[in-house]
Amino acid sequence: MAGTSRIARLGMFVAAALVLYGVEAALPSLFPFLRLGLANIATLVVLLTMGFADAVIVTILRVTIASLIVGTFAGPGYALAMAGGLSAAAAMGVFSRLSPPLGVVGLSLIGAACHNLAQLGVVAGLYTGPAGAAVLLPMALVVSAAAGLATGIVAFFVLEKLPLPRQNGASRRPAL
Amino acid sequence: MSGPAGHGDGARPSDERTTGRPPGPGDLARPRGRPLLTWADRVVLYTLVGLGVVLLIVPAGSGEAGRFRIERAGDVAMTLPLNVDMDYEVPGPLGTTVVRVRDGAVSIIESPCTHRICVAMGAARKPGAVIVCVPNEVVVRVLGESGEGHDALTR
Repeated sequence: MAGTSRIARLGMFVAAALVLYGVEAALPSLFPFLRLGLANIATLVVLLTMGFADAVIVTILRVTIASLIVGTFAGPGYALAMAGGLSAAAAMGVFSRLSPPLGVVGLSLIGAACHNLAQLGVVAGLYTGPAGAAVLLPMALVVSAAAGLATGIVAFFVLEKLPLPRQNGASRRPAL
Repeated sequence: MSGPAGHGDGARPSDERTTGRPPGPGDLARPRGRPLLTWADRVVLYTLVGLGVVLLIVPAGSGEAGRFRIERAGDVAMTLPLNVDMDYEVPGPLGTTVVRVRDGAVSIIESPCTHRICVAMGAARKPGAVIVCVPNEVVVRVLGESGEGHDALTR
């Protein structure tokens, strides 16, 4: 993708991810450490339309800018968010190689699970030790299944509706 | 974009370049016509839920029986088990404070002090929890690592 277009798209997706993050922050949360992961929608869409490197870039920028806004930059919350976001991006990037059987929702489920597991790992390292993480593990799995399903369905329809780069040249409108 | 109007698709630069990624395995970027949930998606979903439910049901390894300590004015301390239901009478400067253990939790149920804040503090169960009676100089402390439970969380 041409440089300018790529930068424009990256900026758009980072902005979208930040909006999703803001929406999620406004939602009441049952457990402060288990998140819906709406911003993962942006990561997933970028991964599937622009590639793995851009997905990582969007994730890092999103987490960093969000933490600067909220004021948790370089704190434990930042470490949590970064670990979760990057693990989700990495896992979805790896598993997108298994795409023929695996769909968008499956990738989203894997991303959500890895997000929560990575965060649990950081929590165990920083606060509770392995025992505390073991208590939270089953809940993290179930919650991430629900969250991944929800965000995956959203990502599915986003990918279906967005006029993003297409395959085999049959574009309805010129590239950005 | 003022593309070559009449040239059709052939004049367009290669799409591999414009999409910015190699022609990936199975084009997920455009799921039109694909089912919302493929069989592999279902496998992932059921695995996650199943694993979580199984781990929820299997009881997480119960820790060793908890212990607590009664300290009196910092000089006398007794370490006692939390799994034995019993009342303990602790003498202090004002009189006798009664410490009760029930169902793995410890509480002060009687105190000669005026405000009886220690009684109102209820039961202590978690490691690190403390009940204090300042007037009668009695401190009840549940032992163990107080790793869990934070004062505050930011996110």
